[in-house]
Amino acid sequence: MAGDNGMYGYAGKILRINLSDGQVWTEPTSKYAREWVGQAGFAIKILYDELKSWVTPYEPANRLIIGAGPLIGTMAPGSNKMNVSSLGPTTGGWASSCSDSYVGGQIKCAGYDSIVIQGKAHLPVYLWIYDDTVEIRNATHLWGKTTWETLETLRNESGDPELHIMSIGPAGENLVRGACIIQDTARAFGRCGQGCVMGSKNLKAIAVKGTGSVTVAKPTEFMECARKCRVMCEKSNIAQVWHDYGTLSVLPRKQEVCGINYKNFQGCQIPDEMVDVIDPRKTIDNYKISQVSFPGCAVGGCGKRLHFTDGPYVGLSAETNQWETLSTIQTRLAIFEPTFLLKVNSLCDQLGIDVDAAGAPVGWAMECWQRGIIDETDTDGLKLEWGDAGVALEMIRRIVYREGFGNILAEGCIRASEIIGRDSSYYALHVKGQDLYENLRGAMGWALGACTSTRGGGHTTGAILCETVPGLNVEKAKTIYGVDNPEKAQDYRGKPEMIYYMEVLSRMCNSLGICLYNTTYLDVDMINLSELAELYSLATGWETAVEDFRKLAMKQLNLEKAFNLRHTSFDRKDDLPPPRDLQEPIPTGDLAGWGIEEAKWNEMLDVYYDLHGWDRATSYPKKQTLIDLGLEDVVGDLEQIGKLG
Amino acid sequence: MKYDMATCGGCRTCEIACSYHHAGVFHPSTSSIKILTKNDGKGYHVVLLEMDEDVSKACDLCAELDVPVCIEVCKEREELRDILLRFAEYSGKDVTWKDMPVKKAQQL
Repeated sequence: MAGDNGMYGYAGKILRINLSDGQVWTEPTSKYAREWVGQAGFAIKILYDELKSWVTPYEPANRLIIGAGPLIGTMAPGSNKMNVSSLGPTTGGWASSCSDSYVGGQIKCAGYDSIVIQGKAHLPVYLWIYDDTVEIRNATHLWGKTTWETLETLRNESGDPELHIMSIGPAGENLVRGACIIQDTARAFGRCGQGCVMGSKNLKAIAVKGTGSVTVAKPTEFMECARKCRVMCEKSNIAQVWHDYGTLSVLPRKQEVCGINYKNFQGCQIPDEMVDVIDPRKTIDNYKISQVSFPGCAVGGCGKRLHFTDGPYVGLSAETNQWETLSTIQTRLAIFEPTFLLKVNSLCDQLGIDVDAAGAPVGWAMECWQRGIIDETDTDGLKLEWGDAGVALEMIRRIVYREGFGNILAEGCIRASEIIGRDSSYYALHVKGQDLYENLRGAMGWALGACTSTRGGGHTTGAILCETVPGLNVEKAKTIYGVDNPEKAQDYRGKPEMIYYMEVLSRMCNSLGICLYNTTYLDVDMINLSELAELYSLATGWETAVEDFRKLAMKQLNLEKAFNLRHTSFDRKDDLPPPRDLQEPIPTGDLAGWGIEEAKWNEMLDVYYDLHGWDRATSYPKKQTLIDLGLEDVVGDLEQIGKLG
Repeated sequence: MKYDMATCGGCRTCEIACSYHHAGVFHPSTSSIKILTKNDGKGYHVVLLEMDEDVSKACDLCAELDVPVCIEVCKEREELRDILLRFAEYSGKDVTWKDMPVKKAQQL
């Protein structure tokens, strides 16, 4: 049986909720499908069409769009990656964040492909969605609670210990710019400040239960294809490492390729003695109680639940998941205590602040302290010394509750530096206002993808991993990316072509609902665009080729770009690395002395713009580019504001 | 029957696969296998249904298949196979896949 409105893969309906007047209605998914793909694809179309250029992120008119793509809920590998999109407060433009989820499958089984939330509730509320039942419930008793307390309360109240929710913590309530949305206890719709948008709507949580099903157009062929894809993923050696230690397995390799943030990017490696002390693989071996995995994952999960039986945080039981937390907080702040990783990750999750939005401003502040730019009169008495775990945790708490100096850091590092002044902006590393986690020096594909990302600094919308992956199948990578140097991380040549490819793959993953770690993004021997196109075709019944995906992804990317042009002043200058990355060479290690050459970066950017049909001087899309992609309406819009390339 | 599975990561892919086995659609509510959160200790609880309950189907142990679908999609195949064999013994059912080796990923 097909989904609503005769659709396959898709549930068939988009749920729309206006929190200002309590109105709830649905519209058919077919209004967007085919022209746009799933979660992030629908979202940019809705945001572009429905937000006037003068709307700002905290206004009721902003939309918070929660997407569960056409492959979520199926047997496709990694089919749990949901998306949340909005006009975001960190960059002021396109905001798009993905997270592993159980909620996504529940949304699909409840009969919806997306939930579009607009307006602002008069008092704190949460959404209760149980199949066709949609209730806007009072959440005054939840306001102020952490995400963990909110989950526990809603599970107790519903009597369902398996209830899955998305919620914000105090950071979202207090409009901390980098607030995130947490799924259950530990998975985050992290960057872009989605929690802040949710908080601005007085929306504390969304609980979803679905008892229906997901139907695909050609079930037998779909299952065969899914089996084939799962075997591809399972055979990957990298996938096995991912299963054992997750992204935290990369520490030795990151040290080798100078890809670690040490003391707010002053270093690209950590001291050798620190490598041994903080090695998170040892922490996992010592304290692991469970694997943590999500529906469909063919890697078998990259998360680990740990329980500390000793040490400074004894008794803490939580999921430690990602390398990002280690590099963006622990090594950035030079904290040696190995169990700090789980402690700070848990604190951020409980309070609902993105780890980058916590680590970047505190790292900036510690460097300002080191250089005498700020002192105790600025920091309300806190001594912001490198390596002080207690001070780091307290500073994050003050950010979330906007107390004193924390109120300034709550704006993110670049805005904080503008408030403080004193030539401190050089130490605020960001792209388009988004706090940076990514080390840009030494890996040009990674750097170009992060800097040109339409959501601001980020590595999941175009950046490539493969140039620094050990044991890369180089010949296969050459075939996939169409370049002869995919393993040469410091080459400028070939990177625009690789980014273009990854922009398509990541957009399709973020729209279909597939985790990038089940794909070529992680290992060129895992599933690729051809397999994704096959899965999408068999799920929806719409014959779709890789070339179709390329065009759909580029259409999506160009609309993201146009959305940014309407809401921000971004142009070519915003696709450059921060000054420190352009001016300072890598200080230590095998790459010591190597630095990004601005002239070569600009040549690379020219090629990148040419590939996309964007104007070299401004980065704006050209008229013919938009027409070729079927975005004729956008031509007039950009012409009107003088931003047609 | 409820079993303890220490290596389970809680992904519930088995529920999706099981529901497809029964109905040809992805409908986890109808699955014969249910993964339940444990309050403490390692892993998760695995529940196998002895008889139909509400919309959920009784576990037929995929008796006619080369390998049960839940085991096929599980990363921790060995422990899940042991659980299913214990369930088969408890139910007094014979299964064709009893002596099948559990293949590691590299053998697939």
